[in-house]
Amino acid sequence: MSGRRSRAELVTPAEPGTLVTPGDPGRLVTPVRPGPEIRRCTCGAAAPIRPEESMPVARIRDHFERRREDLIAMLLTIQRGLGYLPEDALLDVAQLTKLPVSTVYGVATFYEQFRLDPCGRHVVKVCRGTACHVRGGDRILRELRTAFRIEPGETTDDNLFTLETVACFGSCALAPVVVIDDTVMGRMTPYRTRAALERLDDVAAPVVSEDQALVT
Amino acid sequence: MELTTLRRRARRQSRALEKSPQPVVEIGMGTCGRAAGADDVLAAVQKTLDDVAPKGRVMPVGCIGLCYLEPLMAIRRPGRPFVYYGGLTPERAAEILRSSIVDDDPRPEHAKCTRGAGSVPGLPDLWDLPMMKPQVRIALRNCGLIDPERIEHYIARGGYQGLERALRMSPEAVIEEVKASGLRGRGGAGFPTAVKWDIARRAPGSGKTMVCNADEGDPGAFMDRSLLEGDPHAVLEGMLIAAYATGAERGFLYVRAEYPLAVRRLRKALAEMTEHGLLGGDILGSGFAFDLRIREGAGAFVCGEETALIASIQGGRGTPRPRPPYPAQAGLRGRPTTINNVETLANVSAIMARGAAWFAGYGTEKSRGTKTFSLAGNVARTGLIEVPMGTTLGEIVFEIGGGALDGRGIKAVQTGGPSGGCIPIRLRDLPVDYESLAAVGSIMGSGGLVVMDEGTCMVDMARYFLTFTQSESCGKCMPCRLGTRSMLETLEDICGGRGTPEDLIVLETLSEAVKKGSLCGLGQSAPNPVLSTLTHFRDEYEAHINEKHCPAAVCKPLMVSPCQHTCPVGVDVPGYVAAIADGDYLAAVDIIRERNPFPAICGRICHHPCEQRCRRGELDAPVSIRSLKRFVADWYFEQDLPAPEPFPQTKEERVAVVGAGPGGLACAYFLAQEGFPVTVFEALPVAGGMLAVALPEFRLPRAVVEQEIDYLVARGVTIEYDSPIGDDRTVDDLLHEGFSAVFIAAGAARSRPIGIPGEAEGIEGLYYGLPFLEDVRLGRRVRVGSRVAVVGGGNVALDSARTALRLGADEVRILYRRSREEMPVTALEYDQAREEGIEIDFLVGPTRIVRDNGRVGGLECVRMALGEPDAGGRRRPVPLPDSEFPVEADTVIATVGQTPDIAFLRRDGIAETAWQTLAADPNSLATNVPGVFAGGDCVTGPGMVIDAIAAGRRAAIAIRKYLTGDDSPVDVHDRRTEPAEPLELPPTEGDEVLEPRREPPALDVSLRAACFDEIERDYSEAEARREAGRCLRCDLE
Ligand code: FES
Repeated sequence: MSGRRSRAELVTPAEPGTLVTPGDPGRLVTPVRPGPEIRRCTCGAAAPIRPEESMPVARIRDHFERRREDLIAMLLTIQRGLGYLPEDALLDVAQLTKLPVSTVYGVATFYEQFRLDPCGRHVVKVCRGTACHVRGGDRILRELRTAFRIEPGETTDDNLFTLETVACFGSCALAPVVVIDDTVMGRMTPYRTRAALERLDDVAAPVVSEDQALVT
Repeated sequence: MELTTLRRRARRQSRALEKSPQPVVEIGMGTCGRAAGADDVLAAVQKTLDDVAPKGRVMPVGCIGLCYLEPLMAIRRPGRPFVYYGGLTPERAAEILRSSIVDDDPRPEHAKCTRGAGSVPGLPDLWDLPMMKPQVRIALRNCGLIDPERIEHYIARGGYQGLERALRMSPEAVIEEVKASGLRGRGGAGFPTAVKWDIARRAPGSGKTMVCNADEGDPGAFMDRSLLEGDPHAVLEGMLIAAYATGAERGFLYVRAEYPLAVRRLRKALAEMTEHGLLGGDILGSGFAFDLRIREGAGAFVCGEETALIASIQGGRGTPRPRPPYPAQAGLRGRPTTINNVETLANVSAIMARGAAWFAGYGTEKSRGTKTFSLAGNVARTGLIEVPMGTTLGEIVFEIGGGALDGRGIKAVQTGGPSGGCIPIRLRDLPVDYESLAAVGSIMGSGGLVVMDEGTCMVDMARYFLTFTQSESCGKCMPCRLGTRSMLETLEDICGGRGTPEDLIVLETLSEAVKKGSLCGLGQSAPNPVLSTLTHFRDEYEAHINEKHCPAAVCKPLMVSPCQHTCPVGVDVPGYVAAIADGDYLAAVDIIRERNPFPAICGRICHHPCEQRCRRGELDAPVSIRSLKRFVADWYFEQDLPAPEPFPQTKEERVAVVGAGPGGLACAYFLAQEGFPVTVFEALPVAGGMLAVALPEFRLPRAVVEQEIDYLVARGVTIEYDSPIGDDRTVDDLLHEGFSAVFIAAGAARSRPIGIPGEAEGIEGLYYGLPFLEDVRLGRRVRVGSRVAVVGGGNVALDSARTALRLGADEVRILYRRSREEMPVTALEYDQAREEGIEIDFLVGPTRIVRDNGRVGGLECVRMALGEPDAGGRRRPVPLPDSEFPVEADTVIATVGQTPDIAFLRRDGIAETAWQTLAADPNSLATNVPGVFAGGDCVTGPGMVIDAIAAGRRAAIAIRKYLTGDDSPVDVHDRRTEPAEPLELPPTEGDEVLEPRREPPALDVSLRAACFDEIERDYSEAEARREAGRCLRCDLE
């Protein structure tokens, strides 16, 4: 897609045979096989991975029974660690579970939760549920699309925002609902959404480019 | 710890908490509460409490269902009830807490209600609130009352008694008990729970499995989330009972990953259960073993389908498979599997604890018990509710939900999400149960209930749901995959202004095919939103297709801005409002006149539907569009501008207009603008129709009407006064006199009689609305007595009443058969009348006029109630038996309606309708006689002024087309041309910096009764420009 830059930085994969240290639940540390470069998502939500740390992919190795039934849970765990599902992670999971890669890919693309591309530093999700639709949620989405100049599912060029839609957050009584990173915000308007985005620490400039002058 | 010991301890703790000499603060910490800012409130409360009562406790609780009041907190001081406060900010919460504890002032002015023993003067009890009173909380019995993360709280309120009881019974007996309760699955289809269990129990094979489906997939529904967050043990207990009854050894809770808080609380609950012997090898020493795990769903609506859900739990793509075999026979890993929904299971635990008979005592014959609903959308009180089955839609929407929000009328209720349908509000008496909902094309569904008002477009709703189902269709079967896609494309065409009448047939055919041919429930039910809107709101589809008009002003491609689209004549509202903001008043008047030759009149009396759709209204209050129009029109007439030039006559064909009311004059004006020579024939010596003879001076001064008519004449419209069309000079004669086309705009000026005994001709003191107003307006002598009764409820009723007051009546009373809701008058008119001291009695109908010596001696009346809706959707008033009562009056003004007087056209053979109106094509206004067109009140019955002007404009376009041989349909709506490149977008949609709507000044009410002076005044220039600056410029969006 034009104008979409890579939003990942390179992470050197760990050497094979790194010390095996069982960590906290969900943060188990085990060796990984050497592999091609693995990119880490720059989104703030992802756990920081220093080169000496192992990949979350590796964590799941001991944490799960590696059965087919655990496939979705494994993918969710990886995504929570990395912010997305890199291709190599899918290959790893296929190997661990002894499932064909096509099956793993099939599952990863079937469910809405999974993302195959890294996301921006902040993920802005707009509810598209019935209650939010009736209360004007689509106008918030429209506003953000114009402001970010991207479509849902994409990330801004500066890597700051990923825009997504969700079927319903279950906060319909407070519609329309917007979720920024993990904060659920109810009774939103286009203006309040912009204001909330501008309050994020690392968003210095107005969320909207100058020529649009949406904010005064 | 043994359950009995645990229970004893829990009860002790809860008693101690109740008697605690320390304050307790409950804060709703469900997802709703958090979304509204409960986290910050909690922090502020904790900080304050540390300060003023360090031993006090803050207790996070689940959602009590008053979501519209979130963030919500309840404070209890020793020996007092809990006092609830809503809509809190952290500062306000801290302030209330401090004042409550330190100053012993619970700040009742901020409080909503109390709970528990004791009371606070002026505050209702929680359970007596209008939102709570009709509810029966079985599944939600603990929600919002306990700390969901503490099993003791659940146990102290009777938790796990149902399980204990079940374990003492045989599994068959448990199934019998559930059968006796009449419980049906709450996930949507309503299959009897006991039957499902029985099949699973009897199914051969080992490794039976129990699944709780908590993959709440319906957008717009949140019952399951609230339950899991607010009372997880109620569900888990039900699951254990179900497992015991069906013989399941293992279980899965399939929860949406989008509900992290619910997942967390469930994990906590499972740990507590294991700790207390409620899970594992030998539950409560009964020998029953059960292993329970959580599975997070990764977001797929189709997983609501049982076979798809099983595929997903097994780690695969959630696609359904054909049945049989049913999951109860061969489900998860091929083992017999029972799948129940969250709410069903929460009911099971209550049924086992309190008995089947108790549960079956609620609800209807076929639908026992209660149902939870998440009440959302355009309704005043949103939240989580639980009502007995059979409660009517009206009770839910109006009593519990408090009716409309933003003053827009409620149009429909949607149940069942993308698998359900839209039910028009005229079916408000529909009992909510499985069968009744199915009968009107919807389904119960899991409990999403979204209220839609006039600002919701039903075609857009159908399109919206199809977008959802189309993208959620798993693609396995063809009818669903392709069918939903082509249905969506058709709907997008209609919403985009590309629809054709055949599209409706296409939609119906496709709907049937998808319904019949799809493999699973998703496809089978996907057409429901389309079919139900097609059944109940076909007129909206037709408006989109035939008129390219979206009545709710939602479908963007059809319009430039919602206000312009809603304006019957399509005035470029944002354009002229912006011109006013810029101070370019002349430009503003020109913009209005492009579509409406009467800016000063409409600036005074238009019922301004545009303001109803003004987006600014969703933020605070709509822009005062009408008053701005008035301001700028008055500005125009105050200037010393050179008289306007007549439009150049460029056409040969002469056109005649019959009737110089607003419709006729508008038609003449627009035809003159096109270059046609036009003559208007008016029977009276004045022009303006109703505007000139019926509207009272205090609302529309005569001078204002005259100056607008002068303007029209100056632009080249010829008016012939005292020139009735009828027996002496027929429409046919006009055609022979050389007029190429005739537009009939005869209005509806004949007053209808009430039709009650005593209404004889000539009785003194009885008047009819229109002649009464006309006599007063034209300065004839009219006398009213001291007690005036006005019968009716429309504009004419209000105007007559207010006129009578100004003529010196001491007491004026309006008697109206229906209620305020049905009164077709603006809030401003109504409020002004009330301010002036007019009494309005609703639901009263006169039955007889009492005669006293040839004079009116009073009225006999009955009380009415609103019954079934009539064809127009208004509820029909029915007299209540034995409710007769007398009303004292010496003057009666009857204003029960007007009808067109079209007898004068009989000789012309123009077709009429059954309602004594002229029959004309809705698009072209053409009658059956070539060259003769008709519009306005004489076609539609009495309507609004702006509708008459719109008919005039439409007729002008149609006549031009007729005279130029263009037979394409009339298209009056402006459409968005290009995605308008944002020039300079509106300044503030900020709630922090909202400039409030301000009304123009008005004549003091104390002066009004004595004179006919105009009530409303103009904005000052500064006020007008500020008000204009409130516009959000939706046209540039
Ligand atoms: S519809 Fe938006 S939160 Fe449910």
